[in-house]
Amino acid sequence: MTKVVNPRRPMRYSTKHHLGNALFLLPTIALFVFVVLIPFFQGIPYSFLRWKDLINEPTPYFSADNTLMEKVVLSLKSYNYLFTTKPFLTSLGVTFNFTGLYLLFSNLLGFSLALLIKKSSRFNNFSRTAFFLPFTTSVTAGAIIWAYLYSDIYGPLMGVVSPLYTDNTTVLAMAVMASWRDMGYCMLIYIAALQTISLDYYEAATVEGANRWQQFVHITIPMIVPAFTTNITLILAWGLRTFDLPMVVSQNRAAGQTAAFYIYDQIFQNRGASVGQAAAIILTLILIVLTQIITRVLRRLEVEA
Amino acid sequence: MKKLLSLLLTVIMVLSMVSVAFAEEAVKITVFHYMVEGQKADGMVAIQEEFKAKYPDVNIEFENLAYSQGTDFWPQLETAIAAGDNPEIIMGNPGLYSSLIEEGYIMDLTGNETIKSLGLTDGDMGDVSYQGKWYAYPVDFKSWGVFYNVKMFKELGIEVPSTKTELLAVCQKLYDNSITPWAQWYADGASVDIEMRPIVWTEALANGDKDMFAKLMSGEKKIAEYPYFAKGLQEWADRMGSGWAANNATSNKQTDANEMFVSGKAGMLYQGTWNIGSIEQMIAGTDFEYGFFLCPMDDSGNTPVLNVQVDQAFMVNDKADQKEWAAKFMEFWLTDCMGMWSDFTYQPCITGATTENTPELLRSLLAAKASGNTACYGDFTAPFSSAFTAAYRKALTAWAVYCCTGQEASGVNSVDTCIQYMQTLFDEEIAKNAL
Repeated sequence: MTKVVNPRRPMRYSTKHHLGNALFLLPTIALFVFVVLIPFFQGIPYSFLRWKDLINEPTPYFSADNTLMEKVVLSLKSYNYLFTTKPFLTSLGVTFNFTGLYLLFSNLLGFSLALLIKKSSRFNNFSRTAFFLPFTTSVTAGAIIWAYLYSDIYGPLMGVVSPLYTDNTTVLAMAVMASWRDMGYCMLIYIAALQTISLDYYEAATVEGANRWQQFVHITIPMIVPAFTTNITLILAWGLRTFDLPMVVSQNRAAGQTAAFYIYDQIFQNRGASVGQAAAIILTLILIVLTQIITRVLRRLEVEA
Repeated sequence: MKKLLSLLLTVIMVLSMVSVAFAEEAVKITVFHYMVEGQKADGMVAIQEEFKAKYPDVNIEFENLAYSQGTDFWPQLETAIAAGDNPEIIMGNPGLYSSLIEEGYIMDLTGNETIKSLGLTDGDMGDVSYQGKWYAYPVDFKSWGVFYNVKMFKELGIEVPSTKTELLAVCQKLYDNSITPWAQWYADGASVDIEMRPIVWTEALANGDKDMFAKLMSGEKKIAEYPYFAKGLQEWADRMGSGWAANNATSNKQTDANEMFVSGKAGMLYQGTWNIGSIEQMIAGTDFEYGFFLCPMDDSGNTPVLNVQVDQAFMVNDKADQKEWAAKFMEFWLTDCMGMWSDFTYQPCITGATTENTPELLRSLLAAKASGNTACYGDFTAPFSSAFTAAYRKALTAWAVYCCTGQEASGVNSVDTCIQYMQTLFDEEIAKNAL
């Protein structure tokens, strides 16, 4: 009897292709897993323990005598503290306000600039570089310069105190600083998206009698929704975890204290490592949920070119 | 030939590795600190060289962990220790670093002969103690008061004020001459804190409330039960005046205020004595002349009480490899280098040591301390912890913002609302501690 040997089946092109892509991604994925994912999951249990300083050994909030239900309730003490005292909720409010304004300004300005200088010319190329430059500066250096601008130029010119140091305007002033830095980045993404729109659409629309505004609303905007998705998601994530700006310009003031800064304060400064850890987990969950919602909504609006 | 050459190379490599392994390793002492001033860096180098000359096999390494001010030190220190770094010497007053003591990192120095021989007061020793035990070597002390522009005062015919009314008249006169009375730096937490101390510390100690900070932290007492805080806020508000504050009063940090003062844009600067060195560095080669006086808080005309707090203090890490050498180095510093340290840093030594170069201002501070007309932080049973200090400074900053801008900050628009805000922040800390 002849033994039947299965011929070696050639690997399908798509499998080979995906494997190749995965291999290229491997270093980044490994780095992400070891530097972000594993530490994050390792940190979760600490939020359920009594842990004051990094140098202390964390201990449970409960004793062996407690029932399972009591153990569960007691383990949530850090979370309970966060929602029954004001500072974390205030810092969340500051974070949302800041992120909303930052999202609006950087995208609006970035998009407007992109529309103005989307065509290639010597002046436009120079302008793109100039608008992108702030993105290459460090946040700290930029924040210090802006603090001087507000107090030594804007203040005396307008006859007011620096907007960074009045409660009503602190968040707005910080959002302007952040938007100045990142609008150039948004602009580049929008320019790249605008340049991919085929001129055929506009020509066809012109033939059909559509005016500029109609072309903008019905061709330009739908065609660059992927750019909106990228910019909005990125700025949202950057905004929600803003730490460096309040660190530089509003260290001792609740009006400018973001959630990320609150977390730092608790973990490293104020002997509340478990409270800070719990706050970090809440902030991460908020970030994941919001990003998912926004990405899904925007993806639905995308059209095939 | 190739084989012989490769064999020879291998032997050389092995020998070099063996020699490295057997070489006697020099002793290395690492000092974690947060001194950012240039003149202190020079002082550290000088002491390092002196010690090296006596003990050539011992290397001292100073590592600065400060980001922008002293309060950034702890986060970096604890992260470093948690990550396994074990410096031999840690700068800081033990009361602020109780976790380190509780975790066994700090050497108990109670009864140390060198410290005993310095003949320091209970107040001085209180600053380097925790629960009655000595945990640090004190090097120098700090106080705070008013630096003023001597030339400006002379030109405007202003005398150094000895009463509160006179001080306020000086402010008004400067303001009337289009000069900002104060170079304020309320973006720095330390500035708002030192504005309050002449009243809070002095009056609390005079009234026997040595356990005030301990009781506030435990929640046993409320801030409103100590009238010194309300009085301190009011006195400070009077000094800030109405409309006197510069536009950048709440955005300035220490260096900004120094520049404002030295450039003649402001007539006075309420600052700590740790700043003398920085000012000296800034005015080197210029004809700028400054003077210093303790801020009068009332109209009695009596000499104001000098607040005293140990400034540079150093703890020895009990878990470090070279802890004995570390203690030896600190004792060398305290016995052989105090005058030199003071000369480099313009810091008044805790021992009262002077040299022929000691400036008159430092001599007057040392004399004031020696007179005993002092209120020492170390006389309190416990200092504010770092978390309470942060909360306290947050409320005081809101007060400064309100007084300077006229706009409510974090709900603070009066002495009472400031006290309430401070208590709210304290209550949150107390609740957290109870978790």
